[in-house]
Amino acid sequence: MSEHEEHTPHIVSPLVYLYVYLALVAGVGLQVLASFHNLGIFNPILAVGIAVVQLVLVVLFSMHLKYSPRMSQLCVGAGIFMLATLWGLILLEYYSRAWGSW
Amino acid sequence: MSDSPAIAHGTLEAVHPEHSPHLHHQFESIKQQADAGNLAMWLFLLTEVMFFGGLFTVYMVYRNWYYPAFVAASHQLDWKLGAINSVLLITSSLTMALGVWSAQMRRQGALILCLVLTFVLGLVFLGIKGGEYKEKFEKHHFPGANYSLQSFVNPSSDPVAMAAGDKPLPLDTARKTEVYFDLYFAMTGMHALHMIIGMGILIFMIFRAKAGAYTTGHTAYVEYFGLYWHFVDIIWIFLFPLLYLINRH
Repeated sequence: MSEHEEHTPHIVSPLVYLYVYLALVAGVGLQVLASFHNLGIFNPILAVGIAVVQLVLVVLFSMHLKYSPRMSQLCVGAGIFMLATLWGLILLEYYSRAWGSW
Repeated sequence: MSDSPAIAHGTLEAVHPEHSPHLHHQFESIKQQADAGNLAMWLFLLTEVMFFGGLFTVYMVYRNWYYPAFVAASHQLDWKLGAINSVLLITSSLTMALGVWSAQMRRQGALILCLVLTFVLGLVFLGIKGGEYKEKFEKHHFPGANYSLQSFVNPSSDPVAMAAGDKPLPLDTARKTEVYFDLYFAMTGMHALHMIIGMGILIFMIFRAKAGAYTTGHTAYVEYFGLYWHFVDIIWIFLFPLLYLINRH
């Protein structure tokens, strides 16, 4: 075998996928359960918070980002930072306007 | 110009005498090729994140502006169907991940089974979504000239609104429910389109897997498609609570 064929991708155990799956299904159940309780402002925060935890699990384990090259990890980090910046600027503009006052 | 490929080929053979059949000539090694492909796939997914990010931004602003209308319109959705679809898509994500594992372990039968299961789960998801769309069309909740405000200005005429305990909305507020359904159809429609594209690729992959294409050590195609399918799952993970679970208490 030549040195060019030595690379083998990181193989994630099916058990890890199963744990992630169970966590995701539990997350859906929690979202539904929480939505039927009046938690005020925390209703949407909790719903999105659970979705973010689900996102992190999928990205790290199902999408193998935890085991991906540093460059891919940096790329995803930069993308999230970019999205957060754009959302931040839009919301800043949205909340700083005197809507209906003109 | 005419002899440059020959020169390049000759150079390659001189440098890489035991050249892997899966290694494209512009890469030094399989690892470099795999890393480059992985980065390219993530870059593509980031363009998708920006695309859906725009839709989520519009949703965020309009939900703040027209909250009572969004609550009443959201009650028209069946959260049980949404939850079933969530579980279906999450399960299809599991079968896809197991498909990647099967390809890496060179298990052809398991790979084909996983791909077929992923396809079937996606199909059931779209079937349920189609049923939901049909109901919205029948109730004239599809935005446009035939949009009906009946369920919102007179909830007692609509069993779904009655069951949710909705109060009649003033006419100007009721009109804003159309904004919710604009976003509902735009976001779930774009998501469904991504699924349909993914399922088209899945059919291609099932045939290729049957021919043994992904179980000879070259699993990149299955891995990249897995990334795409998980991304589609992630979008739904956010769509479900934001569209179906507004103010259910």
